[in-house]
Amino acid sequence: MVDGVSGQQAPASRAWTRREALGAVVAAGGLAALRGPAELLAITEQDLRVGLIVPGSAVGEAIERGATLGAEEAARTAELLGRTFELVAVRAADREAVEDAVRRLVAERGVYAIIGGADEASFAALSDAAERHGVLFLNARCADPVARDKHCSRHTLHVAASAAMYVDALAQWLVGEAGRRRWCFVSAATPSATAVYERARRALEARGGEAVGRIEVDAGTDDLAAVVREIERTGADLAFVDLAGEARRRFLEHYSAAAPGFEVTGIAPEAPGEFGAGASGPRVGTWPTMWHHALSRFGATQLNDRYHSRFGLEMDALGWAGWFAVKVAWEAVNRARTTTGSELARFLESGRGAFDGHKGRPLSFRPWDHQLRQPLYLVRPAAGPGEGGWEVVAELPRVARGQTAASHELLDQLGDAEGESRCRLEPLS
Amino acid sequence: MKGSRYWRLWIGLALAGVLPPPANVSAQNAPLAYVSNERSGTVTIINTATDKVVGTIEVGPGPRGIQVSPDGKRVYVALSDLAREVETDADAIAEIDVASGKITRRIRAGSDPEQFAVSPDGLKLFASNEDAGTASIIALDAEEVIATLTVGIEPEGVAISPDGRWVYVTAETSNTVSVIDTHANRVVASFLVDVRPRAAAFSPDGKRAYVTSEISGTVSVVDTETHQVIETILLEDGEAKPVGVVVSPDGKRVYVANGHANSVSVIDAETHKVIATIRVGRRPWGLAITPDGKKLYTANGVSNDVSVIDTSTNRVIATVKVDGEGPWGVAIANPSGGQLTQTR
Repeated sequence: MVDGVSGQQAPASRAWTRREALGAVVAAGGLAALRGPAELLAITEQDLRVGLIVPGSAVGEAIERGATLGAEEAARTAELLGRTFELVAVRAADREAVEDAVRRLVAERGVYAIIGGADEASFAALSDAAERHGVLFLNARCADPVARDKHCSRHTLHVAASAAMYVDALAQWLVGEAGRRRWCFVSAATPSATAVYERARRALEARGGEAVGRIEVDAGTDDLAAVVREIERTGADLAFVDLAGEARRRFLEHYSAAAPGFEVTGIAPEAPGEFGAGASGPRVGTWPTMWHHALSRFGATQLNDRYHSRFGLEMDALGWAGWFAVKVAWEAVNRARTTTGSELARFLESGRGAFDGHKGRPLSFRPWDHQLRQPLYLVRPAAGPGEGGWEVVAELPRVARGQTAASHELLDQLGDAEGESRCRLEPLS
Repeated sequence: MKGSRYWRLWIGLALAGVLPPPANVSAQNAPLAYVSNERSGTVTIINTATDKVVGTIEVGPGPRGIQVSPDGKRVYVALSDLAREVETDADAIAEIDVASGKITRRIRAGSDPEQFAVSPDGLKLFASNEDAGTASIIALDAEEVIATLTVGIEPEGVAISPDGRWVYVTAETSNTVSVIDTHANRVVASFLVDVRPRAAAFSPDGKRAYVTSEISGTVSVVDTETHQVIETILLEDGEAKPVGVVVSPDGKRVYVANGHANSVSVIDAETHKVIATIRVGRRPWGLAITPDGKKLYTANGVSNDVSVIDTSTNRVIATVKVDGEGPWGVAIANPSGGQLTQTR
């Protein structure tokens, strides 16, 4: 954890000590002095607290780094305005620990928003708990379509891109620009993978492409070399790989070794430093991401520099999501002038809340599924050595010169339109 | 000088890294527009009577913000290199003598100076230091930074009130404007504006300030007595990308360069209504207006040109190609001296 509680993890079964409860506290003018319970309850728009609940993992730490930077920036701005802003970070992984963390952050620390969603389990627990306690939940990572559809909730908003957005970005570029029209899908045999497959197939076929095969890979499958050969036999010009973690890494190793005649792409949960200079694993394929340290336009250089100065690391997608989630939480209160979760949700889904993610366009949330509209980037291995390993090849959606549609309409090219989304929240009256 | 003798000298100076002064600037009897070219490290000079390029000055890396001294005799241009978050020798504000077209000195102004304002008495300069998140106050005579003030995150636009009392510093990431009291040399207030504020300009009477917000596509109208936003003007349904802003000398019009929207919005300063939208070159950032208010100049960063607008018709009457890359800011000076208008 940042600022003095490094490496501490709060096991679910252990009593919550004061130190763990506070976690990382970032405040105006430095670390906030710990205050008594009575004062903690007196949260107003002048003194704002946001919670961060992530597991004690590399993923959790990556989100926390970004959130910490966002909180430090919000705290500095708050100080200019004569106010305070704090981020209270807690490590929790399973449902019981997450629910307990939410309860105590709300009751004892007076947080009005919580950032998390490092994995499907914590996403589900946070979404439920946020709804129960009436606080905003900003999902920084979970893209799983099944989990999201199940937790289509008023207080849950997604900073993390959806699987549908990643898929649309890939289809727009790989079919429309790179001419890869014959796709073979490789994924696990899970409901989520099936949902992604069906959505990707629709995106592909809508652009004139063709699904030439689907290969389901069991968790225990060892012979991924055979999968590579099977894809070749389909005549595909591109393999869409929806595998996570170790399975994905092993598949790409076999792909890299075989050097087959098809390209590789796919989606996977954003991972720490995945497309950085020091990333491990085979450097092959074209992949979508929310952020990359090589971005430079629209103030991206300045943001990447601030992150690097703070942590000595390249800013990755999880860092960006954590940073942006805090920014949304801070700015939403400034503009909506409330800390009430439902009122904040109403403001954010109204379209009046547009934010600067250093992506060059006003970013806003879709009212029907609470998904953040945002550009995505495609990265691939850099052409030469010494170029940081990966390079950004495209920003999606593509916008033709002279195209003058409103930003939200352009950004709605990525992801589920209102008519096709399974999450359709009714507008608040 | 004429003929081959002149050109031999010109080439010699160019090879020495010093392009000649504009074609006898002191002989120009019209105000001159100075355009900073960020990517080529030059300043292009345009005669506003003929709208022809009359000279180019090499100034060094990354010229962006550009302003004129109150007496009109000097042009200041902010320079910064690629070494971010550290102050290097390349980070400076260059002073150009209008009469000779030569750089007379380089003034330290903190790291990565981008935009700045010159006090009406010509004694102080206020610069934003984007990477450091500060504003520097520089005594011009002593060439000394006399105060470094913490402002918002990613400070950018700097504007000074006509009476010299207040300096507004916009900050892109924090969406704030910091108010510097120039009597005390400290920040006395900060207030929120819309998303990604880029530039500010005061009305000639000093009662209002106008702050552009690029991501929101808006202009905030500020009451400078209370330092509070009293109205927010939406440009092009929020799809404008407002950056530079300038107020006409009579205070009746506010002109906003809309960056990636490739346009200039004309706002009635009384009603706060947009009365015209003018298509210009690609990515206009800085803009400046002639002292008589008849012509408006936009620095178009992608098309490498300057659009000249007739303010009586709100039409582009000329497009001047600069002999440089990435026009960023523009300021208008008068070789014969006198207070002239400022830029973004």
